[in-house]
Amino acid sequence: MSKELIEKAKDGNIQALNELIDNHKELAYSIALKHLKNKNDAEDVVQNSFIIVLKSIKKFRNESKFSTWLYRIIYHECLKELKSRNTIIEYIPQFIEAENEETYIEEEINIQSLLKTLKPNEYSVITLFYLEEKSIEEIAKITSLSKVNIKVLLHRARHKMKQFDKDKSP
Amino acid sequence: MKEETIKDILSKDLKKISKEDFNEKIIQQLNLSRKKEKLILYDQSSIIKIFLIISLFILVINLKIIEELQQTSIIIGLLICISPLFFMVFNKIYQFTIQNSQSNENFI
Repeated sequence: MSKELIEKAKDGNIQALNELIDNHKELAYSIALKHLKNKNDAEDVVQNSFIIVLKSIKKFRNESKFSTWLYRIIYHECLKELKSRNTIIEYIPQFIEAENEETYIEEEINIQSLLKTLKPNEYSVITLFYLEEKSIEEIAKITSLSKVNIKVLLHRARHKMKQFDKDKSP
Repeated sequence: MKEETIKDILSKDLKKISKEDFNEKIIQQLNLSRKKEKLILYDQSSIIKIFLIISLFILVINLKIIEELQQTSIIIGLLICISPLFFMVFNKIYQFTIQNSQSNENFI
């Protein structure tokens, strides 16, 4: 992400702000949904996190990546929301299924079932690693977990994906 | 499994936000907070601090250097202590005029 875009967002340029939000909202929402298992809660948490980050964007000094800062806020806002519920919520698959009513292609259903096997932390780590191309150190900063923990989560997620690939192939 | 395959699977699975006004609501909130920031003409706490320091300084000068409190210096000291109140009144007037103009804009 260019520094120029962040500078424009700092000046309140609406186009730049929109671009910043668009660049991250899908992944942020997917991570939040994986943790919260509720579409409305996930949308609210992501929206609030964007507001928190963009309100204080003027204080951002480019010391770390903007996305690392943003995902850190989102991840911790999800944990805060889970804490406020004060209950351990069981995995409710219909929330995820309701999202994808149009997708009836067999391959996509397979992908869905594969990703459902990933725990929220495993999903967060693997998406940040592969889609956002974050380093182990950056993911540790985002999640406040140790580097060893991140490596374990990444290994588990990769293993589950490989296992799924093996099971799928004849 | 190749790295590209993992990336492909993960990117295909990304969920889309259903709220159509998702971005707009965020930007609206940001604009509101910026307007709120502008509502303050002077930072009250810093003004009070500055004037307290000045009045303390005058008091120290009077007691240590002149060694007696004159009536005029007491009056000056008191005026300096009261002067932050004027800034607070200016702040209130400023807030009131801005809120008035905003409500007029909304009404139109």
